[in-house]
Amino acid sequence: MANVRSRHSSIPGIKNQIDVQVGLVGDAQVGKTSLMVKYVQNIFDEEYTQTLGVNFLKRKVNLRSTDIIFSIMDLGGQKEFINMLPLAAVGSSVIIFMFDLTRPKTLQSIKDWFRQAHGLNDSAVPILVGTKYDLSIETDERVPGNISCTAMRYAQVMNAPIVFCSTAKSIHIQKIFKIALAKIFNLTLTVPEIESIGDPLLIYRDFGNNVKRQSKSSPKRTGSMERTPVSSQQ
Amino acid sequence: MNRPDYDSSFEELETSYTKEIGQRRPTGSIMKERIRQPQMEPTASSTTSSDATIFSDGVHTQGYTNEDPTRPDDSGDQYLTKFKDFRFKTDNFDEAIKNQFSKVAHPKSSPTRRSNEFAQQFHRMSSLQNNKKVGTYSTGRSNAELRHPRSMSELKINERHKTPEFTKSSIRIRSQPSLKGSKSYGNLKSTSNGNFVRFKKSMPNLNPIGSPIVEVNDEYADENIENLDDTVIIEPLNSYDYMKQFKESPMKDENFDFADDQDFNFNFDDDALQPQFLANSVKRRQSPKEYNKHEYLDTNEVGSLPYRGNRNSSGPFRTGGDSNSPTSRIRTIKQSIDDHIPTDNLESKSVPQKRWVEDPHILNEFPDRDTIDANLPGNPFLIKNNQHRSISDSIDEGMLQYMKTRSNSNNPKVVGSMVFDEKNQRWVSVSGADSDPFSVINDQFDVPQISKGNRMLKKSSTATLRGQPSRRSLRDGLGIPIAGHRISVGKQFGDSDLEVDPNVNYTINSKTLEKFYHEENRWNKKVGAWFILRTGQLDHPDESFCSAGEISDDSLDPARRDVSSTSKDSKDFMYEIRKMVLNSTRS
Repeated sequence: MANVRSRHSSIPGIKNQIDVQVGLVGDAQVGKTSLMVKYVQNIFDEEYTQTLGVNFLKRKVNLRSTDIIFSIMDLGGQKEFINMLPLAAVGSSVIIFMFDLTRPKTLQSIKDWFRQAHGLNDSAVPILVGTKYDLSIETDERVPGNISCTAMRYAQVMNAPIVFCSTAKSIHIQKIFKIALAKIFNLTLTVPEIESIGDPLLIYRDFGNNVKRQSKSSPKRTGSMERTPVSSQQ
Repeated sequence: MNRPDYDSSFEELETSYTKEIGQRRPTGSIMKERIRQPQMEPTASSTTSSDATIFSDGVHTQGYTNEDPTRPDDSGDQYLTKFKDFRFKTDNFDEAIKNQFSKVAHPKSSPTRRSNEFAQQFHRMSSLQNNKKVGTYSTGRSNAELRHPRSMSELKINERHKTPEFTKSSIRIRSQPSLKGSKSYGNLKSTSNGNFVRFKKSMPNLNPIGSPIVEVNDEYADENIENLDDTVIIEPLNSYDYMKQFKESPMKDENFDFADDQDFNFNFDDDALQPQFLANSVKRRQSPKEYNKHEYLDTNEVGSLPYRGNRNSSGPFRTGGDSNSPTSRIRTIKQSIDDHIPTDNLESKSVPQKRWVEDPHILNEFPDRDTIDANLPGNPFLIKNNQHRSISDSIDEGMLQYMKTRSNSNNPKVVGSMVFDEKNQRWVSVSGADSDPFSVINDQFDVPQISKGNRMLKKSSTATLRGQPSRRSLRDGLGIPIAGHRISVGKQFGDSDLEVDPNVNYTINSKTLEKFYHEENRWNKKVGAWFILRTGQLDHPDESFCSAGEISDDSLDPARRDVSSTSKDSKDFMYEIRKMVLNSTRS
């Protein structure tokens, strides 16, 4: 206990707070809302609820002495909500393009999503995420292989890290946002990459590094210079 | 192993006791025979547990009824030979009766004594017999004479020991045929619940001389299962085990601390605390008031404030340890702001009366709103009510017309370099240079042929697996040719055009078509009695579904196609009416 206190006493009393906006785009029913709810509330619901417009959730994580506040914008995947794409794209530091690993057509739609979102905000870091990995490995063996190869080619074109995840089984959910933080702040992430076809891919080191940065999509520093009570005496 | 839950509630015991009164008793010789051979095939009456309960001492009843001269089925000489005196042909009838009852009334031959004798005899025999006999005695279903109030306790003890012999014998006894319609408490209980004997906690100890009833612990009852750990069971590796290795640790609550988490995978130095965008010497914009306050507070240690020492030393309720508490510090800082911050350069001046007076010239530093040039860098872009006006003001007429053309709208929605195309429902570039970076990728998926029929049709899509209407399976098995019929599926509500092409013909196998046929039949059964359907509609309920050959015919006959579509609508309407009528009737 004394060590903990002494360690905390060495931390500077200034606490930064940074807002990071993350946009989730992709076809309907790929699992955008599920991913957001899982990451923020650690809840997974099998029942599908259609997103009307844009969902918005926040989560605060603590990175050393800095509070990172993720503002996650979840855009409905239906075509009638495509006019709201600027809400999720503009101002976001990271745009997560999501597709369903069991539906190849949703991967093809990534092209349209990327063209439009990248046109609205070319300074955001793109991340390509394949969802429902747990269900994909139960299908025919060749389907995940084809999708994996094609998704990796897409990731190369998009200059985006690629992650296969499963919200139901809690696979690579937190790593998506760790990669996002690493790419935003140029941090070095030590998570081992997974490159084998058939495994849940996790490739991020060579992608998403030299994204053009503008002040519009930069994280916003708010509420900084808070003086926290630090016990100097024991 | 199915074993009944022996529940000794009073109601059930009372029932058993009542049934026993009119029951026929075996003779004493037969009873002795059963003691020696407890595994004997029981009679119908012996299978009922009402032969003996803790309220009716079976031995006592047995001894008494053996010498009961009023048994209805005994008559004549056969009846009289059971009495000693009559066996010797005693003529004095009254004396014989008197002698007989005097013997019965003798203390040495009292029923209680006989009961004790039988009990002792049984214990002697049971000690010589194996555990199988003990099990028979404990359950007491085939030998009712052996019932004893301690039987439940014995059951408990045996259950705790869980000897294999006992378990085996119990199973054997359980497999014996039971009397049909028996209402004993054992038969009334479910035989599938639990593997151990249960007792009600509120049940009093009905046997004061017996061993106390000890409740069985569930963990103790599962002891045998735990002992199976010695056996190595190798399970085949399934997908769940495979995915388990990738599963992330459960997340913490709100304050997800990367630094304390084991999965903290960032490797950076303390300079990383300053984000990248702060490294470009971007300075926060603060009002002059804040600058002064922070500079003052940063350059002056809180503990070095001159008044602080005085307060610590003179404060009657404060000690030296409390001065470091957060509450005291906050109070100190607040007071320092009030008393020691120079306020000369602020917008207001502090007067000795502690009142704040506005500076009327403070707003002169801000430029007039109308004179702001939004095009200059650094100036704020004022939001105006009419967005179209702002666009038209900022761009020339030619560009505006071009945007209208691009957006297919008179009021183009422009965000950055993108304009929204109202007609095609997508964002396009204002410049018109929509380059396709994915043109180099050949993303025609080689979807394999389905070889497992409907199983793959379902598994190829998770929309049906996770909370989706079943009709979606038609759409999601798309493009996957299946041997069978073909139908055309149009756009459904809520579908995205990014996924569905309404002009694509899908194939459905015969099994699915058969399922549709039955669903349609059921539909017509429900609705057909309520409304007058067209002639032949019931005969051909599957007219809305057509095979591959019929598609071309329908497409050539628009009238029939309309009938097909309107038929479904009308049936929806009918079903709604039927449902309304039924609901109103119920209410």
